[in-house]
Amino acid sequence: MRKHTESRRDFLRKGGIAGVAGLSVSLAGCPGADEGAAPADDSTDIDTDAELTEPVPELDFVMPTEGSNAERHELSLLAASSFEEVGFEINRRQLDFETQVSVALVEHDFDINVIGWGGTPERIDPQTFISDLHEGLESNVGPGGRNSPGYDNPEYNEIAAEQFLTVDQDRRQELVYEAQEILARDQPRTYIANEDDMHAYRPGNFQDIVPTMGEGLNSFWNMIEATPVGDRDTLRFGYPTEITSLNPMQDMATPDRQWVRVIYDRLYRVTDEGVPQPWAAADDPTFEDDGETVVVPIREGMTFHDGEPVTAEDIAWSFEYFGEHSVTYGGRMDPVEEVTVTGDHEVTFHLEQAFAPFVANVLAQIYIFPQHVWEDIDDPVDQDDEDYIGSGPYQFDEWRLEEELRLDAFEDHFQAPNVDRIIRVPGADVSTLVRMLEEDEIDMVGATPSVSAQDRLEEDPDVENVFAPTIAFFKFAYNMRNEVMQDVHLRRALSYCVDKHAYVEDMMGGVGTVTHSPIAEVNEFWHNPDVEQFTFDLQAARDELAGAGYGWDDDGRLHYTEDHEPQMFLG
Amino acid sequence: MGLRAYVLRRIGQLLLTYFVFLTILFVLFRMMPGDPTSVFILEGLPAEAREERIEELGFNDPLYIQYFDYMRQLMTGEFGDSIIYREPVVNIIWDKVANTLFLMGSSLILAYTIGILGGALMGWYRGTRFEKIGIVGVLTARSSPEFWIGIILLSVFVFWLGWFPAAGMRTVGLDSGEGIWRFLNRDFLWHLFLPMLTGAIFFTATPALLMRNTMLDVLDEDYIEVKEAEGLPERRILYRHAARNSILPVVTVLAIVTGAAMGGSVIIETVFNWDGMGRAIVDAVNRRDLPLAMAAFFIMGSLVIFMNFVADIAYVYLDPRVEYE
Amino acid sequence: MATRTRPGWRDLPEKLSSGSRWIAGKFRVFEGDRIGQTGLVLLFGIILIGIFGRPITLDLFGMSQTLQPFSLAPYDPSVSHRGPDGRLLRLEGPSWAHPLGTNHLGRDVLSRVIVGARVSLIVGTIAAFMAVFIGTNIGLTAAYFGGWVDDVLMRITDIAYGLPFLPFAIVLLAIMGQSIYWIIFAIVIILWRSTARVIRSQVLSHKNRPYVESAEAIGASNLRIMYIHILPNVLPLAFLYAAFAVGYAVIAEASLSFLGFGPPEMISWGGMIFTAFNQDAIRQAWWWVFPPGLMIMFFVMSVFFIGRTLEMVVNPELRHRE
Repeated sequence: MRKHTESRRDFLRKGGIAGVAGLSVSLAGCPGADEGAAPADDSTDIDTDAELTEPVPELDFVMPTEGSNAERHELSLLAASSFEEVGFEINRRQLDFETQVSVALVEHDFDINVIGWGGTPERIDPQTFISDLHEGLESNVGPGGRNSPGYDNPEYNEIAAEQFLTVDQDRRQELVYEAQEILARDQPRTYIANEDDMHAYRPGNFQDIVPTMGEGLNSFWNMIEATPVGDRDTLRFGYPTEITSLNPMQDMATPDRQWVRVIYDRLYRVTDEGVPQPWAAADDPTFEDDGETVVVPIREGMTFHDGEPVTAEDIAWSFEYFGEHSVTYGGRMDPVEEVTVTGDHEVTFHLEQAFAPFVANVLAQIYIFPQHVWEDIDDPVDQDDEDYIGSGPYQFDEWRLEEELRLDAFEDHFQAPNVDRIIRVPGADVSTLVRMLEEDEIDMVGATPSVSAQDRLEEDPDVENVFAPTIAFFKFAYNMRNEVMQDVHLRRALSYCVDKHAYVEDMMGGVGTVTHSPIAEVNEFWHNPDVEQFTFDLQAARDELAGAGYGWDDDGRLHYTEDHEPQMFLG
Repeated sequence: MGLRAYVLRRIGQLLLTYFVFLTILFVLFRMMPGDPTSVFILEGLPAEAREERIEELGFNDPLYIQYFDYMRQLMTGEFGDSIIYREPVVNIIWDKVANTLFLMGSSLILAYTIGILGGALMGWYRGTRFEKIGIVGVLTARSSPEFWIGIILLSVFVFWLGWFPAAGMRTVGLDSGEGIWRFLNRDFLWHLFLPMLTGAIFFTATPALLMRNTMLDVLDEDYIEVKEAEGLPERRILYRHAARNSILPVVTVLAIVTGAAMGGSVIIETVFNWDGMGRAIVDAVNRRDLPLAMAAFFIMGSLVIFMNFVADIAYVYLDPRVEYE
Repeated sequence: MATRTRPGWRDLPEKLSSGSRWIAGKFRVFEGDRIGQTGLVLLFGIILIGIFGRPITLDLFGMSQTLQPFSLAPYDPSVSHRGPDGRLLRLEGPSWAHPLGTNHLGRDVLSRVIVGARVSLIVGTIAAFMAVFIGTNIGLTAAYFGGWVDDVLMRITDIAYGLPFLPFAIVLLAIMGQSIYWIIFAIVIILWRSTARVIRSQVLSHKNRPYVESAEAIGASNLRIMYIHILPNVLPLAFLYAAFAVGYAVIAEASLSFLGFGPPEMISWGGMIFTAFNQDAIRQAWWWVFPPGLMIMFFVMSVFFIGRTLEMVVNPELRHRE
């Protein structure tokens, strides 16, 4: 019986894909990956006496195309058929990356959306993943905000707001733990996995590499620590996309930032552990007035690439200037009222109120510009300094778009790199770069090759794979603006249908970590290991639904019953 | 109608075609969903900053103003700023045009050289085994999509023999000179070889088959028999007389093949990571960099339309038997 | 007439034999033509694979009817196979169980190659025949009426000539979403133009022939002259173009699929190569790349070979010379 309804629904779905019945069959050959799944227990095992009312509406499932992300694409198809097995009707909508982001994050036109959040070092601090992604502020929930589910739980909002203001680390940790528990309970998103990095390099050409969490070989530390073997003097580094701009006033994308930051220094640099370490600052900052005043001592003897000294005035000016002109991240300076020069080698920041991640998210993010160069530039956003004069460990040499970016070591830097020159090579995709790596045309690749390529590189004696865990996480988001998704039990049931282990083992080839929280396990201090876990279990999904007033008709299709009362949050 | 009047009329039609083409281009690109700023949300771009950027890009202007701006920009030969690179498109696009022209130009030259010679020989040795093999070979090449030819060449010459570089246009870190010398040097030609060969194999069929057919026509004509009777050496008749007279239609078709080759560059450039216009279109469309995508499309389309025009004119000009209507 | 009174079925044997004679007549051009015969064999083989690759089930109004239960494909093409230890059989080379190995998700490549035939067959034929249908009608109309009708139609053809195929299709699919219908649409938009031009010039040469003039003299309608008198004379040429168009359409579909714009959730040869390329497996997994590539090549070769033979019928001068 069960088997029968299964296949029937499959036919209907295939019909839906192609519309014309006759054509559909012949074309659809065999779409989804569902046929292999063993038919689970009959849904009618769960007895509900309540009368069925209307069917649960079809869910609009927005997923990436194979071209934009093959692994997530496969998991989405797998999950879609599990959803159907439990009785949902699913409308699969495959979109290329840009359209998907725009549909999901700006137009909010979806029920389920598949997307990941990158794991750059400033996100080690839980502010981004706890508050920006889940707090119900207008700027997060509105179009273009990062809380795409529109999750707005008053209890949660309070905790999220409080952790932001809590400077005491242990107290803040408790709050962040509590926040993760609530998220796990409410499942505004299904947190699936951290997609770890597996980068590759040629150990015959370079040694002393420093892969870091979330960035692998792209890490700032790798760029200055990597040491050439023999009489080599150039590091040839491959990355799949081209930089869009080196202008520090508009560093929008991660690949841009990776290179802007080696040319322009920052006061602090976030280490592998996510701790800001003094860099252009001589020491840790001193907090005064309950954290509303922050005094930063400046390192002595630094110069810009043009030979001019880096002064406290330059630094104070840079922060003010950035806050005023940077369209993209000028907002970072919003909590700062004023920056003053309080000594030859001291700068003081006056804040509106204490702000926990101030060092990590402001002092360790904003660049130091030479005032004497940028003063004369009329429109800082459009007109960059063509020579890109900063004070970082590398100085700009030449940039040929889509071909090469060449940087030279800045020998006068207090931590000059171990190579004389670094050349960044963009490729059309990772596989092109892997090909070049195998042929010894480049030395390192700062992106994760496909599982097939990883296996091949594993056997190549000249190439070594380098593992780096990440805090980046990948999830399904449930749009709580739509009535159907507002029910917490429905969301929890969907979470039971996602095979997180299959994703990590089969699609990622084991390079990944199953997660149940937005804060990754590797982010030890902030990660709460005891949250509720959702692992693949279709029966659990059915039980969750049955217990919340859902029922099934003879075709196995999910309906509401009279008993159903929507509940937005648990607890 | 005289030749002159005909040419003038064709120019008028060309302009009209062109205008419609540009309008279609505008409509297509305005219909494209998604906007180039959304993707930065994932990078942490605040909502307000995104709004500002959209305003700045002019996407909020009424459509007719956008259309007007667009036409004006094209007339003045500037294409606005690339959204992704935040640089004027003109600074980016011409390099890519040059790269594509070098690739497809050399491919076509090679394809035509092989095609014309091979076609002439096939015509000359009609009915022989050689002709049969030639036809099968040419049709097989024409039956293989460019990516398939490219992958075979990669497998053999890069993965197996290791004779040619894996991808790209130049060896990383090599200074190859400025201006035209960036292209005319050993390293570039070494990188050019496989992608060029891919295109050449695919495009050989058209000139080869056409050449063979016209050869057959020419060979039937009386004067060839006269030459044979005169006792001229075979080779001399083949090259001096028969081939020479067959070549005309093959040349006029070149214009149309050029158009097809432009579209085909998308594939070859993807397989070999060649930084040309074709790949620029795919990348720019995928990243919703509309000004860049439109400029690349515009240049490609213009080239195709122009080459078709040249083919028409060349046809009537070279072959006086053709009527002007 | 006396024959009219005879029941229709009595004519059947006669009709059948005349029909088969007609068909045999058409096939006669393939006699002694090895290239054409090869084409026929290849095409026949691919059509068989297309029909018997997977069962065909027709689903109408909730009733499903199995039309063809046979499955050439040894496995369900979307099942991931696992070894005895439960590990995914990722990129396993050819073996008895999987004659063409497995892909990156442990799926049977042979089954996928077999199933992929359908997309190519359907896209190829539908796109080609639609393109030739449109092209023939436009060419016929333009040439027959001449004047402004001709002008307008030929300008439209010029514009179609100005659209580079792949860039145009990519933009179109980015707008409309990646569906097989839009892929066919894009191919048709680009393919009809050459048929239109050729048919037009062919019709122009027929327009002033005596048979058309006599039809006009007895007051036949425009439509009648166009479709009853002229069309049959240019139809062979249209068929020839259709044969070639199938080839171009298959290459076009494969190219789009290779760029990642193929129909999602449908197994196609171009799409298989795209996945292999995208998964960076072309270096080691020849069993995954070469079979679909060869299949595309064989399919296109078959129609080109057949087309070449037909060309000699349409254009008999070519035949006399061989």
